[in-house]
Amino acid sequence: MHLDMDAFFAAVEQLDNPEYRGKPVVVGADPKGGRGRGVVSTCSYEARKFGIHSALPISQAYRLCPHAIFVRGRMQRYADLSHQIMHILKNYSPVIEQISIDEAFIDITGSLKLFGSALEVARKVKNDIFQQTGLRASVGLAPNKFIAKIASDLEKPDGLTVCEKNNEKAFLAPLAIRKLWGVGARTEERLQKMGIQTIGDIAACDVKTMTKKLGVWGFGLWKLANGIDNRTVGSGHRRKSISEERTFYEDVADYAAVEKTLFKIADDLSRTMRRKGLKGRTITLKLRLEGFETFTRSKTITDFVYDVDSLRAVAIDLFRKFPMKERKVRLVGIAVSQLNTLGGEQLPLFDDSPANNEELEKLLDELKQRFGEDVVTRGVFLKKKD
Amino acid sequence: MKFSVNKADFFQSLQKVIGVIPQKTTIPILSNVLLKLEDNTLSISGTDLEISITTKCNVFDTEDGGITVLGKRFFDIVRELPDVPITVSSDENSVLTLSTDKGIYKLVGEVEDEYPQIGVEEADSTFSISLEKFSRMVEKTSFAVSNDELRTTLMGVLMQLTPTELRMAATDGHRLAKICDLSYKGGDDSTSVILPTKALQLVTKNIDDSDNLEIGVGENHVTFSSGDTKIFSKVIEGQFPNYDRVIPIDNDLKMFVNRELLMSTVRRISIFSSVYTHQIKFSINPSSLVIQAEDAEVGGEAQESIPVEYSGEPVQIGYNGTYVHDILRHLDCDDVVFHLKDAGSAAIIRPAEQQEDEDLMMLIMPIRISDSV
Repeated sequence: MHLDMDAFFAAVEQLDNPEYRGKPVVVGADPKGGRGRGVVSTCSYEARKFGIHSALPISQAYRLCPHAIFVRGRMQRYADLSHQIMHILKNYSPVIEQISIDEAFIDITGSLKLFGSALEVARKVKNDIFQQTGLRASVGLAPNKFIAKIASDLEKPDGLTVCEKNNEKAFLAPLAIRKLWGVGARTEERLQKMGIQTIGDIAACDVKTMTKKLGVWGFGLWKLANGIDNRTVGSGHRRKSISEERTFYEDVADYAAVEKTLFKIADDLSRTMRRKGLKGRTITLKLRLEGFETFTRSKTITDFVYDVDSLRAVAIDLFRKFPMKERKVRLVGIAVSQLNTLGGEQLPLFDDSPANNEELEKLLDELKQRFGEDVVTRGVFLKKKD
Repeated sequence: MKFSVNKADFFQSLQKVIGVIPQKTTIPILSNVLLKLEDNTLSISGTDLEISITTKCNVFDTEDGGITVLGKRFFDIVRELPDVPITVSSDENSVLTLSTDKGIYKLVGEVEDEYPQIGVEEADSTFSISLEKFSRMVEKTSFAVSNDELRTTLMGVLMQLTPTELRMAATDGHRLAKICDLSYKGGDDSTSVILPTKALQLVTKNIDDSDNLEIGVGENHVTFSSGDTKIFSKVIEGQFPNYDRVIPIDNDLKMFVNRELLMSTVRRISIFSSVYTHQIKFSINPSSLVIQAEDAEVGGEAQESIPVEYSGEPVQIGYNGTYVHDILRHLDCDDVVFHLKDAGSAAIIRPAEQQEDEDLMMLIMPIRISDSV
């Protein structure tokens, strides 16, 4: 079973602010009268009618629907509700894989005896969530994860879609290839050139042709198109990367200012990583320049780290090596991957290695948590008094 | 400039220099080699500004002068020529012409003054060592260097000259390799420099047929000379970590094991370790060592047991399998000894029998074992 909350952030805003109900609500960056930067995080179904969708630049959303209600997200509130929803799911099965704040897979194979049919479980879950939070969810029921996820999307909002066992191929066949995991605009174009329009067309293809044209990945697509997906629902979702980014209020030509922002991002990311107990070895710099061109540059280092100095040093090094050609910067970000979620920690030989500022950084974290964000900061982040 | 030369001699000399030419460079002239003829002697040089090599070549029918040309193309044509005499000449337009009895090959070069000056500073101290011994010391240590550009001092091999021994050491912060030549007799003062691995590779590869390698150590540079070839290298600046301090002295547990056997076992088991952490687990018991790995992400696990000589309490220690394998590969004895303390401390690995006048040791930090293996 796959559960996906309907327009989650926007629905929460409509729940908490009755006057927003029935109106287009856009959660995301500040549109600033159409000059705002950043993107749409979520929007209500009313807003979707205007062509607004997630990840759309906020300025464009504003142009499409200037009278929409634009709100900044309240992450803490969403996280609390998400927690509450996941808690409800636990009443129906212990095997839950939360894949984002508003989405989860639930393996209910073992719960059928207790609750009757799968359909019964799905109805109960939806009802419980609505009763306890006032929010609507869409549910997909299927023999495997991949089809369940597709199914939950088909009848949104407040959907409940079932794909019966042994009916997988027929269920998928009429759907557009874009619904397949990993098929974006480019692959779609490529497949269409091969005369493929629907998932059924892929399933009907010879597996050898798919593999020849698209490699191992083609084989994967063919398997999915035929409804084959053997992945189990993992109770612990393993995170692959963690990141943090900033969009500047206006494009920045002052690279020293960009470096300072990178420092700040490294500082925030480092704190998040410490809180979650994550360390990583691959550090990626993300750069979006004027004109929306986006670049990433990565470096893998010897140690698994989460300290601000390592993150910053690598990110700034990557930034300095990037051929900027005097272009302005719109957004910068840092991502850390190759996380140490598996296995143990390689111990250092020398105690001056980056891992050892840990005590100090943990102390700073604690101070900030107890006395507020501004109680202690790095000198570099202080504003000069004129 | 004009000279005649045998293809074989000329090719051999060029081969020594070509390795220093950077593959990619933002300074075009560094892609060139410098040819200079003075007093009937041809010297060929190349540099990447950090390291320079100069070698001499036997030539005849000479006319003094100099020119610099694109190194790779020049090297390629000389390599492809048949084994015949070659006549080389340059004109006032900096065109270099190679001619044999069959063909003519022209390269457009530049005047020699355009080529960067290869500065040779005075060395503070010099010593000689056999190339064989030096190469051995490089081989035993250079594998352990770091490739982390943020810790440049770990990217080279430390060479220490003391009154009683010559030492080399390298580390990436997780493992360390150290070798001492006890037959070395130094002056009263001790000195140390960090040598870039590229320079060491060039020395061990390009200096040949010589018993005596002459090494000059200055404050910021080192020179290696032998026969007609001279390699000049800047040293890596900065402070090498005080590695002596982290070599444990109270590792009382000893495990004796056959090196080849352990190495092949580690290689097999490591196939099942995580591609990120390479974590393997040693479970050491009085007569056996059990090595295990598990890949929690992809699934799959492996376990193997080999005989060892060990008399301490059973202990379980996690290691990076690649590091263990690297270390064993660079030891060349039948049996090795692991000197251990506990699961959180460095292990020292030594040959069970040291070679004459030599002290070789490797050190590896463990991985703190998580529940899953």
